[in-house]
Amino acid sequence: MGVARTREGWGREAWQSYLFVLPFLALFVSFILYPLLSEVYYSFTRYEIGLAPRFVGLKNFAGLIQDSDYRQSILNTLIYVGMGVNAKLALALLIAIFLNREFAGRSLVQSLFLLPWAAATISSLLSFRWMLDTDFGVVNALLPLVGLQRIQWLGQYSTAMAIILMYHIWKYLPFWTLIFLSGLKGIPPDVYEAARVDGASPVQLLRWITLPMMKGLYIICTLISAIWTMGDFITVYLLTGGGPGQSTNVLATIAYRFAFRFGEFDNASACFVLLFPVMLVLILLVIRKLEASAYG
Amino acid sequence: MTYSASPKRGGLRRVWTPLWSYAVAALILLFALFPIYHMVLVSVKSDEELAKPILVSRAPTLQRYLEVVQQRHMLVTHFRRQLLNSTVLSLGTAALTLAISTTCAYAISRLRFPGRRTIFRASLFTYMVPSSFIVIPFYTLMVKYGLVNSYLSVILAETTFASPYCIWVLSEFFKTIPVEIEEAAIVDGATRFRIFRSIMLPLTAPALVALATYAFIFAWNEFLYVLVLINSNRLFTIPVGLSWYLNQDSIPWGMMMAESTLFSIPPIIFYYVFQRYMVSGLAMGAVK
Repeated sequence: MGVARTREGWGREAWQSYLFVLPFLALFVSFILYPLLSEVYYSFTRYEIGLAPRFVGLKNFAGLIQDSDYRQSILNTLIYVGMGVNAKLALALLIAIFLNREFAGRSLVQSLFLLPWAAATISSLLSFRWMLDTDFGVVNALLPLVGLQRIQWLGQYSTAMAIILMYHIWKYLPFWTLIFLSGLKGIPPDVYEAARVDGASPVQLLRWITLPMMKGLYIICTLISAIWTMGDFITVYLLTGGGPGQSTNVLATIAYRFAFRFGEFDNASACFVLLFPVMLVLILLVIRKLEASAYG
Repeated sequence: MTYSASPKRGGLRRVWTPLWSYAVAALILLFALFPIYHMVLVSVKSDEELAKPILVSRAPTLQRYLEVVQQRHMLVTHFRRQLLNSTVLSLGTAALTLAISTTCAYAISRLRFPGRRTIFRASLFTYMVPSSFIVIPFYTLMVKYGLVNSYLSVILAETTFASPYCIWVLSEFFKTIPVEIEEAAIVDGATRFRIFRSIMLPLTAPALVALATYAFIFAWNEFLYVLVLINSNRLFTIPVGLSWYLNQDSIPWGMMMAESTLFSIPPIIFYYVFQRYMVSGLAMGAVK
């Protein structure tokens, strides 16, 4: 009898539950799942603006692999993700450890440090661009003072990529620092206390307590940041527009170019679809790790 | 818990520690603040100073802010209109996101039903998937339904991407409310929806304000989806409107920096007020 009652209760509750989740589910299915699947479909078709998609097999992928601009954009995305994410998170951890110590004025430093993250992305991107202007930019104006030549920062591949990476680190460092700070605050103080009683030095505390305790969070953050950085559009689009030539494009800007400059939705979709496996594996890894830490 | 409590640590160390702390802090702040300072600096420079790369303005002026707001500059023709567009888009996103994420978070944290885990995973997936990966099929979908050049299309996209974080944070918040309150309400004959509306929502009001703000700023900063879905100067939001100046023959940098500064004020205020909520999802989910 008890079982029957539970079942009945559950049935009514389940029915109501679906009403509660229905709005989000509708968004997920229509604006995440359906677009992802149709993108996969587009990537196997000839699909130009104004025309209906027509199945062509692997033609788009074959074409893309031979396209040197696309190959360059994948290389750039790898550099952007590989160097940007690692440098940013390593710095964020260092700064978090630094800010986690007590010193007078610490909270003021922390608040000011958050500004790049709080200010609108468009604002700081435009400020960077004007700072680095070849003729009127403040950076080039300062170079002669230290005996250096003016540099076309955004006009050549190596410096342009360096600036793109630097903006990325500058912009997102505070966010990850805050996450690591809350991670550091979650380490129970008595662990440190016990180790200190045993005569551990600050370096040993860092090496044997702080770093191991932060490892899980650091890995999750690396994965999430890699996924997000892989899809970043605005940084490259507004700093270099993919230039000079098409040398600094990343995945999202080259796909935008295919789709909205040339109307080639097929190639644009294929750009992303080629990286779907990477993205999906990374996302599934994060979900598994998050669930393990939340329920384990 | 102070390090200097131990008698062995000498005076030199006590002086040295704060000294290097401030040196490091100064370095970090120089790096973090210079681009922001530069933006404000350029916005208040006088016209003669604009071409000169000086680090301090001798004759700062708010003239450019007036020109932006009053749209007196030749190129700044749609600032007020675009500000309104940005506001409408962000408010719409905030309202819709709140409606969708509160209900979903309540079900995830409080109700037991088959597929609950799947829904939560779907929201985590949505949280992580880069929005640019979906922009092309989203655009073709909106073309199909005739929604291109309308705010509804952008609001739908922003709501989809802003909701998961709110769902995540809110479901953690709902979990902190004692189940006994709900059980008492059920005994009194309240329906689930009644409980949700009259108990759960009021008890989490501060979090709701914070998350509505999060969604607002999320849409406020949106660039790609507006660029793709909206194609008229009158309908642009401020970020896309600002980027449009870059196509001009003579880029009005002073004006752009003034507009950029104005545009950054709301997010800066909101981020500082609700700082805790802006990172709490990941922090709660991952720090355990």
